[in-house]
Amino acid sequence: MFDEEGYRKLFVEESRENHENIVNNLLALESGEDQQTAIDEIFRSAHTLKGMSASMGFDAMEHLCHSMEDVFSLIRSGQQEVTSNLTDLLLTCTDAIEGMLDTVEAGGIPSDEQSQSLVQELRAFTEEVSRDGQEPLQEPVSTGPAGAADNRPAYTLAVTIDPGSSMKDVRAMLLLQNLEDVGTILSTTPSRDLIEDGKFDGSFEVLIESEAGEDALRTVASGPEISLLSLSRSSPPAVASVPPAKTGETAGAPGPDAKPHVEPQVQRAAKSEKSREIKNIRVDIHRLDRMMNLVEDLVINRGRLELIAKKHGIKEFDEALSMVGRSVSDLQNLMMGIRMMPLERIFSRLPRVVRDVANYDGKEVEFLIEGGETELDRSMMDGLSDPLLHLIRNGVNHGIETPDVREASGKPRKGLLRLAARRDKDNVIIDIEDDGAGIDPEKIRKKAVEKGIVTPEAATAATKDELVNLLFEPGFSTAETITDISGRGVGLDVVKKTIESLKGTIKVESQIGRGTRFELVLPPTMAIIDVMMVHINGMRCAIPISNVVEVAQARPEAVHRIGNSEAVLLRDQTLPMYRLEDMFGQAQKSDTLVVLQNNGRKCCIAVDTVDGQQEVVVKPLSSIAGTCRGISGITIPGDGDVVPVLDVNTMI
Amino acid sequence: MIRVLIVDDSLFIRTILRDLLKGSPDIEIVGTAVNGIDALDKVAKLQPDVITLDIEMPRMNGLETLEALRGTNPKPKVIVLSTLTSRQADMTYRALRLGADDFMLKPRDIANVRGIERELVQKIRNLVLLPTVVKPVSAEKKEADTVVLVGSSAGGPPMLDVLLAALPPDLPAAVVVTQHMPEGFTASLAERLNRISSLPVKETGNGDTLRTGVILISKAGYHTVVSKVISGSGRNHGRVVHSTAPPLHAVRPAVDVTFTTASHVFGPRTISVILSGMGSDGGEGTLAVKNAGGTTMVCAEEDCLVYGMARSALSRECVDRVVPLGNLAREITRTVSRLEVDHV
Repeated sequence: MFDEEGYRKLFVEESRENHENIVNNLLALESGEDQQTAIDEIFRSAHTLKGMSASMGFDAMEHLCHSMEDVFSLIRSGQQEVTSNLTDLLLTCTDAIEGMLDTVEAGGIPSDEQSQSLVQELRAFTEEVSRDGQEPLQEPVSTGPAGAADNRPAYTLAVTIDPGSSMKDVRAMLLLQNLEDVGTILSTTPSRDLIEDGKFDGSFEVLIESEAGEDALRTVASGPEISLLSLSRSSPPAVASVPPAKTGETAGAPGPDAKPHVEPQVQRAAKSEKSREIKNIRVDIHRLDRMMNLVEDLVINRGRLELIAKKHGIKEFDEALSMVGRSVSDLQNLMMGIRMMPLERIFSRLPRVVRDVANYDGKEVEFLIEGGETELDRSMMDGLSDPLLHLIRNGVNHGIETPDVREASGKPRKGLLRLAARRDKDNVIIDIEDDGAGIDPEKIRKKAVEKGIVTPEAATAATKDELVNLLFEPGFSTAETITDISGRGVGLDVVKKTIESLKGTIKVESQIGRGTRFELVLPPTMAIIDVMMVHINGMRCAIPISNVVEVAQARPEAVHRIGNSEAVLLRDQTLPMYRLEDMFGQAQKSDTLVVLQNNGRKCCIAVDTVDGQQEVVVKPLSSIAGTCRGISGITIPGDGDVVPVLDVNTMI
Repeated sequence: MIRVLIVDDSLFIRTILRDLLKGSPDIEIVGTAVNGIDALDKVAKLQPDVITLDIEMPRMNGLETLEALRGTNPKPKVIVLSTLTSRQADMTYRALRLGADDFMLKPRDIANVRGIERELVQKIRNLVLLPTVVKPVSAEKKEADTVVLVGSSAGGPPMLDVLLAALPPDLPAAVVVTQHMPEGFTASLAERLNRISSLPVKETGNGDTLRTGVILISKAGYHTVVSKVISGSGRNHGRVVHSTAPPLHAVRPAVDVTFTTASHVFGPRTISVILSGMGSDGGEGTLAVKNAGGTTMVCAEEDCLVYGMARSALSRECVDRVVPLGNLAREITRTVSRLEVDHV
């Protein structure tokens, strides 16, 4: 009856709203706007988030929101001031929540790795207030049954029984029995035998070890005809080690307990210099997007101005323009820098995924992450998350073998899964590599034919690389059993599509018995690129400079027909040659060639003229035009013309 | 058909509650409201029998809504939905004083806890079925020499409704209920039960004497230790001692502590009952009651949301009777009166 996916979606949507509400109101709070409303709003949002995450069973998130709610409860009642320290901490918490929501959205369960220390810090704030206030916190829950038994506090009770009592011995015996219900009696003076025989003068002392608390002991040791003379903590007998001296202060925090003691001072210091400069501000990503759009417009218009300047040849104007141009470039770089985020953000939740999948499958996996600091445009980060998750799952699920199988084939029991990111010129390259069983091309050959993805003839002719790349075809899955972990209906084809929609590429290499390696190549940003402008059949076209190898002159005799297509022999290399007539119409034969490469493979296209290199803004095709194979977007150079940008990826 | 209005500012929570209730044929969700103002409007328009009410809401919160509802006629029964904080525990108690009829913690970990809907559904049914009892202010009751112990955990509160509402006003025994519950919420539980039981119900206080015809609910955060006292007349009776000893089975109060210590005091005049609950708390306690010569019962499995605690007792082979929930009150009363006869 529980539509978990449906709940998840609803949960993420509403949580994002509440998260945003908290962030906005935190900022409002800092800027000193309507304080009370902001505090109420934050409190309510934190509360709602807590309730929802509890319902979903996301404990880590619940604890974090709970702690935030506690802090705001104090702020609301005026017991805690809003300091910039506190705001910083709360903003960090909202970051953590956002990270958790991303995890949830991707189908995961948030872990408490980041949140635990935050919860501790938040507690430090609330505990400081309760220490300042009259009532100390409830005595902390003991650290655990293990150490507890040895470290129980001991008390000495002096008791006297009403001299008029007719049953001194019975009263005393009963008292001792009752005390045994709440603790362990270590000794009595006089001895227990004497007391139970009534051979005492009405008063006696009991040394008892008990965790029941003073109140409980007091209650037990008072009653009709009995009065408690004194109750005091006493050092336990020699057997017991160090007494838990700071019971009231350590407040059950097993973590770095120095922190709560340091915090108050730091905080007071902050209070005294309230007018401290604000070093960081937060900006909504949508506002950044709008700024980015404006910068793109600037780049377009700069191109336009350059054209005008060229036309009229005014030297002064040229100089001014080059200054403007420099500023625009700097601005653009800055904007792109702001939008960059370290990949760490999406990498950080993967170890958990690996662990879970490995546990589920009964595999042993060592997971290495390298290059988490590599930065990528934030807009790509979102899209990258799912494919990565899928590839990582795949790696553990299909790639790495069970320990026994590994041992049998002479490998260490523990498999190795490596996720590495690095920057190569402008591109970001992400490798996902396992040392597992590898992909068997024969298996793929068989399966691809079975599934009708390729004809038997084509399958026989296919090379090993081509076969392995069939994995990316829709409807292909090599998993023999559909498991919970992979096989969620998302195949590698979806991974490939997603990566391509980010203008990236994916390829796979595999060696049987040695492992599999996926390589993702992602452009640094999707918005502004260097292109080579060319004319084909009198029409302009832009080619991303990262795909251009060289421009060559082809002698007519070097062009050969092979079947239906043409190929050109260029310095001992045979390259397929395309005339792009589908796209630009029948053209005069020209002998200027642009050699393109993608993923290590090359081809060339024939162009009329090469106009030069230019930095342009690539705009996506509008949804009306839909996706158009071969074209990754359009660009508007300075003269206002609309020029298609070639998608080399689809041509090779 | 019980007409229910769901009031909560979170669409997510509203959806969950709706899904929890929609499977019950006798419950009809007549609408939802997003805050107090909306709720008042819809109460007037839709005339629900029961509303589930969130406490923290924008514009008009749950407490303000309850105040505003006071004047309405007919007044719907109200279940307050609360989350786990001390502040909310306090708000929940205030809500009950303001006229809410029952409370419940918001559903937790819905994906993994099966049967979570049963508790809510049962609570709603109880609200409509069980009348509120008006008790005469009774004189100070005498110290009890017989005790009925009830141990309960997850899924227990609605069962307590049924059991305690059915106990007769002249029950010649003290009742101690140990219900696992987060700190701060047992006061609200006692308040709720006090309204539907013909016996007075209160939360335990340190040093409270166990009195005939009084139901005590173990205060959460402490173990309820029952300690022996001999009164001036030489009779044995029991007294509550709040112990802060570490949680047992990760809970405090632990049923085992209450059961074991009470059986030391009341011996054969101890009757123990285990209701629904997760975990193994209660097993050792039931055994202690049995060893002291008392009578031990557990509720029948089909009436329990979770049977862990009862099973833990059954596995120790110390259970005298397995009784369906509907017969428990009668069975307890009969056992108590038999003890009375023997006593005389």
